[in-house]
Amino acid sequence: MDTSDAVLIVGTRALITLLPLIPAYVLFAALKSQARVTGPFSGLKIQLGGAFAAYFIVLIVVSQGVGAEIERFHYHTWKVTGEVKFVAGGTKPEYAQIVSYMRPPELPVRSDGTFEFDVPVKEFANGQLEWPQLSMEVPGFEPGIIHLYEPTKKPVYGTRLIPEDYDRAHRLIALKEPVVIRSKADVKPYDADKAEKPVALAGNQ
Amino acid sequence: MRNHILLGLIAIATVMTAADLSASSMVRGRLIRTGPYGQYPAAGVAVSVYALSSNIGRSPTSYTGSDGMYYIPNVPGGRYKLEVWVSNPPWAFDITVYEQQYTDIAPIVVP
Repeated sequence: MDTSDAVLIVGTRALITLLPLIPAYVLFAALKSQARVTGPFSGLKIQLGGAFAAYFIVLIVVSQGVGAEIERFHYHTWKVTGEVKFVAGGTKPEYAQIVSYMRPPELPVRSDGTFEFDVPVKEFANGQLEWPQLSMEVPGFEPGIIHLYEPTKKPVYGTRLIPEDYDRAHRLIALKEPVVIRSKADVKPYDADKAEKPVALAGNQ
Repeated sequence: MRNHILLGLIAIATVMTAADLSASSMVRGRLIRTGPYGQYPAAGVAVSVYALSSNIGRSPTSYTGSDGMYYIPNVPGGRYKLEVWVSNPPWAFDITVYEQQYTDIAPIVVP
């Protein structure tokens, strides 16, 4: 959580608590202490009167509204289907040539190199998670690749896992080591002509 | 005596760690597509390797970047099936991973 988020949350909570004082005062002035609140609330039997009763009612109404507003920051996965059509007089490109992007969520890296991403993760009915791969590309550098994982299900090879603090209950992953983005100038360049020719196995079609 | 044993254990651990690091390789290669305007990188294609000479199974999938390059780190030396997930079952290629920093695979044209 960065400082602006903390200020926002504290400010919102202060507003929720203090703002109902204004209508409560108006109600108190208009109704001359006639407001009464009695009955069960969250398992407790309450009996309130006067300005405080009015304040309590307005507080409950406002906090529910603001709570719903805060909830809107959760992501849900929607399936979107459709079709693309090229409009061109000459030759049309291949559909597979299209590179699609989704924004938001934005995946910005801060000027100090830190980042905080909201990442949609597919969850199956049995609770199994399907993690996306996060890639960071900079021209002239090998990509920085983040394979997210549950610590109890570590793959043994074919990945470079960054140690993480994993909190499933709060859906939080904090990487404990930096993502390494290495300059291509410092490593052996990829030479397609000298590379191993892969032998196609039967069934590639 | 205890110091000698301790130094011996440290030396063994150092040699084993060095051997582990040298025994794995970064497998990298490029996927390309061919269109009316020529070849272009195949971005966002899932690639994995499946061990043929040992029982370590399949690696997690890696995805090609905008330049069509894929990078699969920490692959021990041996024979593998390179799987390109342009269909299910995937396209498969026989490759050998060498115990060196990079094992480069020649570009593959995919649909």
